[in-house]
Formats: sequence, structure tokens, C-alpha cells
Amino acid sequence: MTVSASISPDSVPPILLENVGKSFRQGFWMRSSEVVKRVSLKVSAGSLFGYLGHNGAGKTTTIKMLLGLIEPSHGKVSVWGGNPASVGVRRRVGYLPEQPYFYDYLTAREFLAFHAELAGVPHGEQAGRIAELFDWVGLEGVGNVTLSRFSKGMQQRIGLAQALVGDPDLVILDEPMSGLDPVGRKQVRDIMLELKRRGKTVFFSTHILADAEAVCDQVAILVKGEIRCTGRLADLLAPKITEVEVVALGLPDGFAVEGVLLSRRDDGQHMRVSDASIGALLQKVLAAGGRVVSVTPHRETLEELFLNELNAVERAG
Amino acid sequence: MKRIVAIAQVTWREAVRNRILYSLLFFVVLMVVIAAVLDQMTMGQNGRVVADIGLLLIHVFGALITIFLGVAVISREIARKTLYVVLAKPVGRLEFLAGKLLGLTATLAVLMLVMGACLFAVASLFAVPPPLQFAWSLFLTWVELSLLCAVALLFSVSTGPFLSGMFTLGVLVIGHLTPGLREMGVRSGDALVRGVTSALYYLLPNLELFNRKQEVTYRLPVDWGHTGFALLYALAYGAMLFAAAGIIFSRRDFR
Repeated sequence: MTVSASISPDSVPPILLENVGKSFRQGFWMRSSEVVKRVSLKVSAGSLFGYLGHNGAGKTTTIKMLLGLIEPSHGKVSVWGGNPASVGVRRRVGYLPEQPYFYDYLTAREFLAFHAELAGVPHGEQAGRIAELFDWVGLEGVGNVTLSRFSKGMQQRIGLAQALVGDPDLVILDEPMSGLDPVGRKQVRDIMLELKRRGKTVFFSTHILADAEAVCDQVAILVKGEIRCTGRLADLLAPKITEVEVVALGLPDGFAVEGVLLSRRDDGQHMRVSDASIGALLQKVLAAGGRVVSVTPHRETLEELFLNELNAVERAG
Repeated sequence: MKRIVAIAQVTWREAVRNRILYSLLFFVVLMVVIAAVLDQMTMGQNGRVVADIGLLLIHVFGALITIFLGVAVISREIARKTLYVVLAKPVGRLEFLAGKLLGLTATLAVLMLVMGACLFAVASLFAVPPPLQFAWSLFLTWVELSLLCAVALLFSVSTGPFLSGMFTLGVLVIGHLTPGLREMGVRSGDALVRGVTSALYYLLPNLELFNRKQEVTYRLPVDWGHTGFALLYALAYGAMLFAAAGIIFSRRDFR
């Protein structure tokens, strides 16, 4: 199934991909392998866009095309209406790579000052901007520590700081939650939401769907180099109730209902049924002397949508 | 220009924070002291051995440092993916290369000054070398090493660190042999040998142009005409190497 949802048009979208593909020559015989296939995508200004896909789906290759690090084999890549290979376009873009590697002989302050200089931040504003960023990403007090002594989580945070140092209008983050503990992941999510509140466009890739569902207002699902669906989460996820979960106590040991999956846990007997069968199930529970503790309706999750798309591709291929 | 200077500064910081560099520098100073001892053991040389061997050592170790730093400067950035965040900033790829080259040549200039000052001080204990010839010989060695940096840059945008190092070392060795090879080809009388040696002479840099150690050793006057030609040659050859490196680097995909 390919789902398509409308995205409101902007005069100059921050990201516009038109039928973009990329092939690499690999292996001893230099066989061509198509990593990204006919990707078309439009990201609205001011949105928080999740680019979702499994490992090896082509997310990082797409992002590198958005930054001019990789030339597309075919199709057109536009960032703020221009070619990302041009220096002028990249003035408005901040980027955090997946598994960031930095000049580890520099101190954190030297590193950010270097990137501030590259991003064209005026000298008079650099110190203030750097102090603000240290505070924002939670790296206060480590300005004079060399990056070689940073943990993976700290590397991710300093990477985020360098992406934001030029106050870019478009922030591209490749797996920004990778390697972070739950507190760090929440901080990154909060930073992304704050960027959106400030009117910035955030485009981030992830294979952790819970992260995307928590913050995104638009997503695209990439499976084996192809976009399977794109649009607003509210449009993509079915609004109807797919399942209802019932938790009951006091049911006899042999209690069973045809077509209902049961699992006994410490807090009671858990049962999942379709929305249409909930009335009949509740009657049987009460008739068997059980006490209903909770009835929770479930709607389609991003994970279910993603897995459906992945399964569809695997069945077809 | 600000971005080029910022990249050059980071390149300089990387070099001066590299412990291997200090090991090499220490070794050069040690060798100069040994040269001084040798001078004492040589009859009637009056400090010539110190200056002669010292300048040779500066040249050899300077070349090793150049290959070590020059080869790593791009290929390590590619291997470690540190250049991704730099090239994602509003930085042109030619600016990146120019910054790297500027940082390396500035580092080499400081190294030449430090090593040269050490040598001059030690040599002066025996006989003060002619200052003008000494400074000019060091300057031309620096020009040669800067040209070698451009060679290393070209190789390192095209291939990995090991091959880049081998190729650059090869150019250094052959670059000092090409005038002799050409002469050998002419004397051989064989058209094929003459053709090959002449092609090598014109294709590879003639690094012997920058060797003016004899002017220090024998206290000869500086040949300004030759020096001017050597400088123009280095500029033209270096510009060609930089342009070739720039074309390759600009077209490269960073996967």
C-alpha cells in the first residue's frame, strides 16, 4: 500500500526532491547498486519532518545529497530553492551527521569557534552564541575539555551545537538520538521542538519510531531506497480504533473466548479484541464473574504503519 | 578568506598538538649535535660539516614531516569523516583545500625557522655560516617542501594514506634525480631512453632547483636569477597541482 497525503504548498520549500536517485559502484566487479530510487519529497517551512527507514534504507545517502556531499545520479535536489552544492544555500543549513567524528585535538570551545567562523557568525557575537549553545545542549563547564575526552553522548551534544551555531533556518539531523540515554533523548526532542517553535525547519532521520511519533508533524517512510508514504502523521495513521485492550480481574482459570488473545499478568487478565467485538467480550467477562479494570482503545501506530509498508515491499520483492 | 584562515588555523593546531612531530624535531636537533661532534673529528673543516650535514638533515626530516602531515591532511579527514561537518557549512571545497595547504605551509615555515635557528646556533659555535646564504637555502628548502605539500594534497584527495605517502615519497626521490636522469638520457644516445628521461624531467617536479646548500658550504654568492626562476617554477607547478587536486576533490562523492 502506498499512502499519499497532501502537504500545504510553500513558495520556496526548504527541501524539494524530485525523482531523485543515487547509484554507487560496489564490489570487485564495480556493479552498480541503486541505493536511493526515484525519491520525491517536499518539506514545508517550519515543520518537524521525520525521515524514517530501517538501517540501510538510504536515509543517510538522501541527507548527503541535501548537503551537496553526494551528487544525485538523477533527479533534482533543491534546498531553499537552490542547489545544495552552492555555498550560499548551505549558509541556511545546519547538519549533524550520524556517528559524528570531530577534530578531537580541539577543545569544545575551539571547535565551536571554528564552526562559528565557517558559518559566518560575526566575531563579536561568537562568544555569546557559544555560551548559549553550551547551555542549550547541556554541556556547561566543558568548554576547555578536548573532544578526545568526550563520551559518545557528549560528542552527540557538541555535534548538535555545531549544527546550530550559525542559527540556520533548516536543521538536518541524521539519527540525532543515536547513542543517547533516555534523558539525552528527551533533551534532543525538546531542542527539536524548541527549534520548531522558533520557526526553524527540522528534518531528521531515525529508525526509532517512538522518537518520530513523539515530535514529528510530517514523516516520510523510506523502504529499500523508495518512499512508501509521506505526509502528516494525523493523515497517515488511521484515525479509527483498530483494537481494544480489556484488563479484567477475578476470571476463572479456564476462561477463554474464541478469537481473543489472552495473557495473564500481575495486574490482571489482558485481552485484545476488535472494536466490533468489545460488547460481546465484556458480557462474557461479567458473566464469568470477572471485574473489568480497564478498557483501552488502540489506534494505528507509526510502528504498525512502518511494518505494514516494510512487509508490503518484502511480499512484492 | 576568513574561512580559509580558520581551516588553516585548525590545521596548524592539529600539527602542533601531534606528538610525533615533536619526536621528529627532537631527532633533528640530536642529529645536528652529532654533526657538530663529527665536525670536531674532521680535520680542517672549520664548521662546514655542521652546516652541510645540518642543512641536509633539515631537508630530509622536513620532507618526512611534510609527507607525514601532507598525506594525512585530507585522506585522514575522509577516512575519519571529520570533513563532513566542515563541507556541510558554507565552505567551498577549493576553500577547504586552500585552508589545508595554507595551514601546512605555515606549519612547515615555523618548523624551518625552529630547526634553522637551532642549526645556526650550533654551527656558530664552530664557524658562523654566511647568514644570507644560510637563510636563502632554508627558504628554498621551505619552498620545495611547500611544493611537496601540494603533491601530497593531490595524492591524498585521490587515494588512501599509505599509497599517498608512497607516491609522494617517490616524487620526492625522483624529483631530485630528474636532472641527472635527463643528462644520462642525452648521453646514452638512445632515442627511447632520451625520450623517457626527458618526459620524466618535464612531467615531474625538478626539486634540485631548490637545493642551494653548496652556496652555504662554499660561501658562494646567492644566484638571484636562479632563485627567481625557482620561485616562479614552484608557483606555476604548485598552481597546477592545486588545480588538479581541486578538480578531483570537487567531483568526489563523500559516502
